[in-house]
Amino acid sequence: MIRGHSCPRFFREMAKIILSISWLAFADNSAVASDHFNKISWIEFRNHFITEICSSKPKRMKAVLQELGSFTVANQDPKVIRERTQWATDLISGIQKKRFRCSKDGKTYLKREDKFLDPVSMAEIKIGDAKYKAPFLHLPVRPTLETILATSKLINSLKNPGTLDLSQLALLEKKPDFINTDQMAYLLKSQLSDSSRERLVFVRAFKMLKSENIDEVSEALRNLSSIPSRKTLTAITKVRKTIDPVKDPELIEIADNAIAEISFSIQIGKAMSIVYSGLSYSSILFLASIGLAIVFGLMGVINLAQGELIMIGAYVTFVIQECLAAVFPSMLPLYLLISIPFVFLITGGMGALIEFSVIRHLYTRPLMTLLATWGVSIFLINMIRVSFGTQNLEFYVPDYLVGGLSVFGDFLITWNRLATIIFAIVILIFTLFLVKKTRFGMNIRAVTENRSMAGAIGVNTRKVDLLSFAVGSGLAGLAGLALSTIYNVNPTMGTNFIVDAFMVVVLGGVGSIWGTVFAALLVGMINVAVEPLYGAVAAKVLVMILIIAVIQVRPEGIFMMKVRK
Amino acid sequence: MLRSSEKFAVIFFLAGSLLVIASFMGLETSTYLMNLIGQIAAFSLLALSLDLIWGFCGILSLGHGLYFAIGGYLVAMHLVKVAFEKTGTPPDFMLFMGWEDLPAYYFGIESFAYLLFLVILVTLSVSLIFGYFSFRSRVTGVYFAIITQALVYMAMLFMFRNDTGFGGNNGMTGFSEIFGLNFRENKTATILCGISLTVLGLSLLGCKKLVDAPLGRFMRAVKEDESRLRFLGFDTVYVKLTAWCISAILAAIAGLLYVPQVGIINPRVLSPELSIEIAVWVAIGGRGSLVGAIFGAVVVSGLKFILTGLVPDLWPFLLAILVVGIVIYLPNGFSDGARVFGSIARRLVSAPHRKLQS
Repeated sequence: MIRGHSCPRFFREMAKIILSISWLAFADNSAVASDHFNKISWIEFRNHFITEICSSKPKRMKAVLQELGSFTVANQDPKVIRERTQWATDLISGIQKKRFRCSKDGKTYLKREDKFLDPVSMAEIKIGDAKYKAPFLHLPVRPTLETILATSKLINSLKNPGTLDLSQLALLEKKPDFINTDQMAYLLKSQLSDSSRERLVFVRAFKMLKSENIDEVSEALRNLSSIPSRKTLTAITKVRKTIDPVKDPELIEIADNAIAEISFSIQIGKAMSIVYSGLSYSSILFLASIGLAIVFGLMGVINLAQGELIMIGAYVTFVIQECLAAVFPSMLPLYLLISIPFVFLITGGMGALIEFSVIRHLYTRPLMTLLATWGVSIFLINMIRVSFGTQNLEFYVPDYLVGGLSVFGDFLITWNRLATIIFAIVILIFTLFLVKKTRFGMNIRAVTENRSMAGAIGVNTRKVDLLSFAVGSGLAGLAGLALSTIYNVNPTMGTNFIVDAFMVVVLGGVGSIWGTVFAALLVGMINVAVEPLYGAVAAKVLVMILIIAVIQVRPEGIFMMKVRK
Repeated sequence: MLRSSEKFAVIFFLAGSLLVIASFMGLETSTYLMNLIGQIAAFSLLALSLDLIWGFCGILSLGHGLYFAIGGYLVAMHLVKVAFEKTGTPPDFMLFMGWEDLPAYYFGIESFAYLLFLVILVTLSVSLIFGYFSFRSRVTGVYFAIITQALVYMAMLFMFRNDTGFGGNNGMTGFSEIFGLNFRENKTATILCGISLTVLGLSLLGCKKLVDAPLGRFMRAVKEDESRLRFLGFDTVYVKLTAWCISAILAAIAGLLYVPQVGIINPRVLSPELSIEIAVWVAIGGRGSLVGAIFGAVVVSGLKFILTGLVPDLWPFLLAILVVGIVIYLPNGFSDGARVFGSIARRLVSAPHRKLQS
């Protein structure tokens, strides 16, 4: 019994040693290695693989992992391939999670749910009391390990067509240099959706760029030039430097064309993304300043606490988010929508309170209103500072606002900014309707044009003041809600927006909605476009020069309203 | 008999000169107290400068910190250059940037006369350009106030940059001596305080003369009814511009006095909050009263010094309540206060008397 048991093991050990020696000789030559796949059997390869892994030598581990990748797909029968890939997936994830262990005398096991399996046959075995150690995963080995595992999982997921494991695909996109070309070729041969095929082609193209074969490189260049992104540009530029201009002039030409094409597309993408983030900043500015503009036209006062109303709006949103998380966690993703009426009413109510208690008493002294509202603003800032602290608030970002749609080059339509823009448009329509179509709006326009005459024909001017101040404050609060997922929220955030909002009011003209829209777009775009190039100061200087230039010819803003004073 | 402003001007001038003379004769004083008085004197000068245009000309600037900072930064450059000449190593904020030598625009600033010339030149050019274009297009009131605020905010953003040679967000510090007086010596604080008081007295006197002169009458006319003045054929732009530039230079001198006493200047002096605070001093003390502006600056900044030390969290609330309350109930600040409190006091005194009658 004892003899009979040990004899095959002896042969097995010998075979392993001989195999590993012969494999070492061909380790880096895949062409020869693929010949070997036909010669040695799957079972022999598995033994060899385990020996190599147990060696804990990074170079050998890397080589044998690549071989495993090639071996799994080196067959015509899809069933066999699936079987092999399954084994590779099991074993590699075992190695990764340290459930695969080797002893010094060459014994190995794979632990799965408290059972010890023979790694080759996956049959249950008993293990002795020898010392088992997990093979050490050196840092250079890990990317190869992860990539082969991800590719194997991808191949596994082919079982059900159309359900390619996209998370694994994303993993490959991050580390295209380590993929196995044979596996990739197999994947591309199988049935795939167009988008995943495209992504795989690009992954392979990144790998092929590093290839020795000139045809492969030029094919890769052609493939890559159609996806303009910064990553492709750096990859191609790197390859371009290694090409010998004397030996392969054609290749250089292809590479240069690709670089030119991509850089052009990137420039366009950059311009588009500047316009896009300019639009979203303009939206916030519009929300922040529309109330200011209407109230300025109406009463001739500027509310220096407007920035703080924005801040309060963001804090109300935060409180509602926290309440929902505590009481109805299932409603949490909708907290931004649920907050809208609360924010509007609370900040509007605060605005009404400010108008009623402070501004009403100062309506003949507009300069004093500036100081009084400044007093209100430091009061609000410190109230929030004492009750919430000075740190930035952390907002939960619902799934539907995460990420975006990649459009062109590096330009990404992010959902949160898109939501802000749409929100601002909705508010614009609401304000237009309110001012142009309702009786309240008619009163606002009447009082703006001629206060005493409006009062004489029976408009309650005090009430119009109060209500429009409240609506303006409510809109500022909504600006705070809209920016809560994009910008930092802390007690002093208001000051960052308020100066730009003033600029919008001064530039756009008193009490004009379209003027405010126009000026918000102008100021927002200038800020976003100039800031990355020349810094925030240059952007502000430009806006300032623009304002001083505009008031030379139109002292009451671009869209001034004809007003009787 | 001397009028009230002139009386105070003489008191400040005499107190300041006495302090300077006494410290040269070896008077030992509390450095903290001297610094405190000196800083408040600088703030008072700043308030005076704003009162000149707001109280007498009706132009509210929410960006007077800009001129204060021009004076402050220029004197800081002077002090940095003096320290550099002595030690040969650039200050820390330049070493951070890897600069071995001071930038070219520090040339010659170690001379105090040149410094004064620069302060006046820079302040005048900024205030002239900005004032001319604003007044020419008849920007007034709230519009003008928020544009000046934007201007000071812009300057703050600029000064926050670290590559300008003005210390960036860390500010400029590391001064060693002024007029050959070491900052560590007790004498220096006393002398600086004395000089600040003297300058405050002189400026107060000058402002008093100015507002009583024909130009001062024009300024008040602009404040009362600018369009009527224009209609009568006077060019109000130049009246406003002159007042504006004088006020800017006074603010710059305040900055020049302030920075050597605190030993540091950073972009915080350019924050819109500080500029609004200046207006608050004037509003609380009383617009249109030169002594009132000084009084407001002394009371509010004195309270701030005391209360931020004792109850730092409470001070902003107190300031807010003070501002809102005074603005609503005492339109002319404490100049009204005397009247209001007087009538309350009279009522209290006469109350028992009235009871008897009824």
